[in-house]
Amino acid sequence: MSQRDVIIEKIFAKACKDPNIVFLSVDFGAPALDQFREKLPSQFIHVGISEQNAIDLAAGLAMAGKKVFVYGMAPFISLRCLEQIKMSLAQMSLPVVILSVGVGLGYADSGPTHYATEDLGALRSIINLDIYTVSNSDQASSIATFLLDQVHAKPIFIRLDREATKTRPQHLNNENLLDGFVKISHKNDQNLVIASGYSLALAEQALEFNEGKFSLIDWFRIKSFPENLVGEIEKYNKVLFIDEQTAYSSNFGLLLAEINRLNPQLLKQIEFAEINLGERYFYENGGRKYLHSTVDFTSDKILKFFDGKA
Amino acid sequence: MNNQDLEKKSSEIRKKVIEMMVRANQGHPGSVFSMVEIAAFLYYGHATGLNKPVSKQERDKLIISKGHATHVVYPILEDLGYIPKGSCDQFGTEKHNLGPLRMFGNIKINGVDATTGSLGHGIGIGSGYALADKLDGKKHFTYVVISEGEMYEGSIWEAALFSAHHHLNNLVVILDRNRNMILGDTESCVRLEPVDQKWESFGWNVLSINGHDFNDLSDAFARSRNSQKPTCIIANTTKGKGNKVMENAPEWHYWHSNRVQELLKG
Repeated sequence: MSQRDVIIEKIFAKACKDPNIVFLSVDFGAPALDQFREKLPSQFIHVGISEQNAIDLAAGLAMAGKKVFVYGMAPFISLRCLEQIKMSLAQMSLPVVILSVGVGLGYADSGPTHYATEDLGALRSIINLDIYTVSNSDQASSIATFLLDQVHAKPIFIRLDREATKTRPQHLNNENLLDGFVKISHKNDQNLVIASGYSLALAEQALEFNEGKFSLIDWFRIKSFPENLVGEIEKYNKVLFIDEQTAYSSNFGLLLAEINRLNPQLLKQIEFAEINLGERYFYENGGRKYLHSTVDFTSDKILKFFDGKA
Repeated sequence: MNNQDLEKKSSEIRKKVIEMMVRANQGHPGSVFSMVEIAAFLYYGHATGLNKPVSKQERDKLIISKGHATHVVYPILEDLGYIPKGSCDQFGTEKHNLGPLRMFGNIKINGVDATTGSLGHGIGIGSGYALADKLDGKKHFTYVVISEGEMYEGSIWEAALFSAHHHLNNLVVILDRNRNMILGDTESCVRLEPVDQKWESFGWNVLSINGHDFNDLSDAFARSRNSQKPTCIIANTTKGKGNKVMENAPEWHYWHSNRVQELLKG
């Protein structure tokens, strides 16, 4: 099941018992949404293609006591309504959850208007906004349960992949969810890869026939920054960060800034590097993997880094 | 409260606002003064729940979407007990930051129902309030005051479409049409007229009144309560109304510290 369907099913189950849950869709569907629309029509609102209004509407509903989820396509529900997210949600500390589907190059053949490869750089700049990048459906399920059971004091932006990404089974425990990251593999005490979202699948591919080549961490809560992650990083000599974002939107800068804040000497002790999509828009057709290959955003490149050939 | 008392209240509000701006040496006096009667009527003259300092779940809501004019409600909020006595007098003094009031309204101020300042958000937020009240079976109204320049923001029209479609007849927008933006008349910038027909075409009940006349305001708000559609009250006003120096002078959108003495004589 896709990440979005997993999350929507969880929300639906909760909404069946809680009439204060309201789900707003910016003209965006999902198989799991069909039952929501059919069985809870008063709790589902089709807002139309109006991201800005969706967020302002969510703000008003939240201030009136509703528990609001806004659902839209990643490139649009991020940047088209950035001002509204900042002003109507973050500045008013409203616990609205935004589900953003199709991050990275998920809509590969739709062209650059449909990519969310620059959204993190913009979203990250909004204070008082938590951001998650989900890497697989197991994780989506755990995060959904965790968030639905908590009382929040700020908006949360959840970035979901369009595909049902194939990664190893992953079941987050409470400690992982509070930490904001999870150790996937720790069979190498020198080399570490930190991946988020789709990138985790690439990293796991690299490990498939090279188990033990590097340890692997999935960093899923981008903000609020998981400070314990720095404590994990300090165990290694070489750290590679991989992010399906353009060069200036990548979270690598955030990671280094936080390391500098929490343990600056690590910046001298550890060799850091990153793999991102570089600085271009993709106009070619050929699918996501093909687009990745044009900028060497590949599992091979990960291996080359640790072999000293990157 | 009768019209004479409302006139008196309006004078008191204008006096208090100017005192605050003089002390702070900043503000948007022209924009505030054009909507004094509207605010006075909503709180003192109209049958709303705004005149009691209860939680927003128990009363009507008011959003000053033209956030640079939120000042207009501060003397009212103090008078009605939403904020502590003395809050207005503290504004602009060295103890300013110890008090609740800020140049633009935010929800940390009791009685302010949305943080505004960036234009174009108020109707969307207001429709959220109105929709929630409908879903919960509550009879409250939500009032949103917008400026005409704000109508250039696309988000206004997204919200207008939504509100009409969902029959949010408990939502009332008051357009403070003082015909002046920072750089002058709206019709010289990008033509807004015919404003009434635009709102009607979006499915709204539209009323056009003199925004400084309490009889007009009374009639309009009474009619809005009986509408099956959301209502837009086009309140034709004068920017800077009540001060001869400021009236229809677009430069008084902002505060001019070198012209205070002249202003106080107006």
